[in-house]
Amino acid sequence: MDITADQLRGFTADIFTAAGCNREEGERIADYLVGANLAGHPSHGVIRVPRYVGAIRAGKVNPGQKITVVNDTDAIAIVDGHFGFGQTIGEQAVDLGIEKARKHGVSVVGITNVSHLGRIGDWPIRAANAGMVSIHFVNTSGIGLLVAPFGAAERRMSTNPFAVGVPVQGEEPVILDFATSIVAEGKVMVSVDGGKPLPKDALVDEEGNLTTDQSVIYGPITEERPLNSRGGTGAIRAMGEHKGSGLSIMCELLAGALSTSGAARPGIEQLSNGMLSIYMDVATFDAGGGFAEEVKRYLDFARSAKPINSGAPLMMPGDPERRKRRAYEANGIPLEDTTWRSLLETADLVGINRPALDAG
Amino acid sequence: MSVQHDKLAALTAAIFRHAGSSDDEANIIARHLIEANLVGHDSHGVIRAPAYIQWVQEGKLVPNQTITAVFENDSMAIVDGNFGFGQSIGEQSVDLGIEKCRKSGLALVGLRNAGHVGRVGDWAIRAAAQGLVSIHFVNTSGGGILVAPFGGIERRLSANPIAAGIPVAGGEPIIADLSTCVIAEGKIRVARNKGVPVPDNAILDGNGEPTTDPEAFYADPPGAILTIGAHKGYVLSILCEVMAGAITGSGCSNPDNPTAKKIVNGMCSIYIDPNTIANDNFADEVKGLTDWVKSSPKTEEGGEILMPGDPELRTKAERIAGGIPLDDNTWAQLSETAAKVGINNAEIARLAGRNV
Repeated sequence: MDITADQLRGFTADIFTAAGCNREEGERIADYLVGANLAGHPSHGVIRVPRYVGAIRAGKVNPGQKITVVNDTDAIAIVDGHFGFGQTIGEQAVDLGIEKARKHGVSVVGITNVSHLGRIGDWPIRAANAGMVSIHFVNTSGIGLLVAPFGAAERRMSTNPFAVGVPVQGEEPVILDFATSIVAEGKVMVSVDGGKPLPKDALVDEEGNLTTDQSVIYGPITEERPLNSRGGTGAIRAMGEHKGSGLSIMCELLAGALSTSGAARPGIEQLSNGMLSIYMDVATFDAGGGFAEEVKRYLDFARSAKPINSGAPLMMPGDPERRKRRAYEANGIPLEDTTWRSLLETADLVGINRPALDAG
Repeated sequence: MSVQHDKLAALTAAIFRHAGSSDDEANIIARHLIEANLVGHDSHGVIRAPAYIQWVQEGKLVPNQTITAVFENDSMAIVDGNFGFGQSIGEQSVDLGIEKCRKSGLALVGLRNAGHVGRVGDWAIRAAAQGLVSIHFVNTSGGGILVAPFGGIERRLSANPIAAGIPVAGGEPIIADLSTCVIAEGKIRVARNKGVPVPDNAILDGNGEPTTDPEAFYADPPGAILTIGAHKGYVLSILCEVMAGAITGSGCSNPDNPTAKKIVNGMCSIYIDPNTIANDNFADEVKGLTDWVKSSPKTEEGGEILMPGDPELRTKAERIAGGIPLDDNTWAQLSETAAKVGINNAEIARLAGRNV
């Protein structure tokens, strides 16, 4: 089914408000989740609502939290998110980073004890809108163990996303956001039910053989959903062979060890993202405006490369998401029936009416 | 044939001294080049000396330069390398970052207009030796455009390496040092000289078709190197251009840059002192992750899992003991370069412990 962004946002905000968030926070969470759907990343969109609501009810995520600073200097801070919503804690932490970078040109903020931070690309967008270049390293402390280091046949890391934002004068920022694994777990899940097939070297079984057989992640595939990513004995492989494996280990060390949130380890039962973010305030050190000109000049040069496929013009990081967003804002967001049903069931659970558009 | 590392260093330093570098600078350049050979990255070792000397003679690279600050505050600096040797300018720039980081807990140093900064991992090692975490992004202003953007045929990006270093309590640091393209241009040249193919999925020919023929890279229209991990490496490479080119003011890869005819590196380095924020937990976490990662079953029987930086340490131990292997071509080029700057054959043989 297709649904308009406004309807989906309103319904999602109602669910979180009924589940214990104040209205402001409910709207904020809805805005980020629906934003991920709009950007064409449904794995980080409203599909997460049942899980988030389940986490509130299980006491694993706390509505209405504020960051507290654990450790800081002028330019650097570690903040505790008290297991608040990533959408709420993330905004506060990013805003602290922006404020510090405005004063010192550069800043670093590490977050510990925060729930799911959502689509990481949202944070460099927020920083870029404030004129900042930013780089974000993310891990989970161990609940999302999925990825084998280079040469390994067993999971030792999370999918460890990495995101960057660069403001572009008079245009949308350049935003990159990717998992350091060949594919995110969501893509493995989607491939089980007939979605885009996996690249042939995406997974590794416990014997060390390359495979696309999703059972190495979920265990034997049955009709039962949701799939359990802890059910299998194999792993997703790191992107770019040893190079991506090295990047993933750096995400663990920066987002886990340096942020104090913790690097990957077995036996973790509460979802906690670690994020270490670096912010650079271009205006502080580039009074002449050379940065903005150089970025534009370079983007023009890169875009001018002859395309391999003449029907597929070159895209900059962030372009595909903006294209999807325009299409979905005009025509509605496509939602899988299973996702829609899970939203309706969550509405029942928190005791609000199913929306009128349920007729379809 | 192999040469003892200290003797190779003595010859290399003599070459740069004769070309106009001070004793200090000549030793610094030699130390970095020999270190690259020792850790097994021969493409960044003494093989570079002939080109460096040629650039000095052409005025593209200037001996005995010091960095000058373009912008500076407590936690950051943008510095100009004045086209000095990347090895000495790099040390000055990294040491400035270390000093600022010690005071502020965090520092960013953007270096513009540096000569070839060599193996980028060296800078992460230098910071880790002072207990600091660091990340380094490098590009060229146009002297090394080799790589196609994802979906494109023509070269638009430099090899654009990223390096990161993590200090390890009581041990050698974890050092990741990777170029964002699949294969170094030097390796394509070697394959071409040997008449062997390059690996699959490494280069495109001038029409945008994947190829393993190294000749296609040098044909007209020229080929291009692909980025690691398809679109993911592409965006990392763009990040290098922005950090090392636009933030530093050194210039993003562009053939129209005024400095594009020189080999100019830009480098943006970020330093973080883990003691200011993470306290004692940091060392434990690093150790814990290392043990956990290495404990995984291996994909091949008898295989092993290495942390970033481990392979280099191993090669270094072997080469300190057994000497640095030098092929005849590299040795011939090095001794020709020595002769060119006025070192006679007897002196070359005495310094290197090997006849010309």
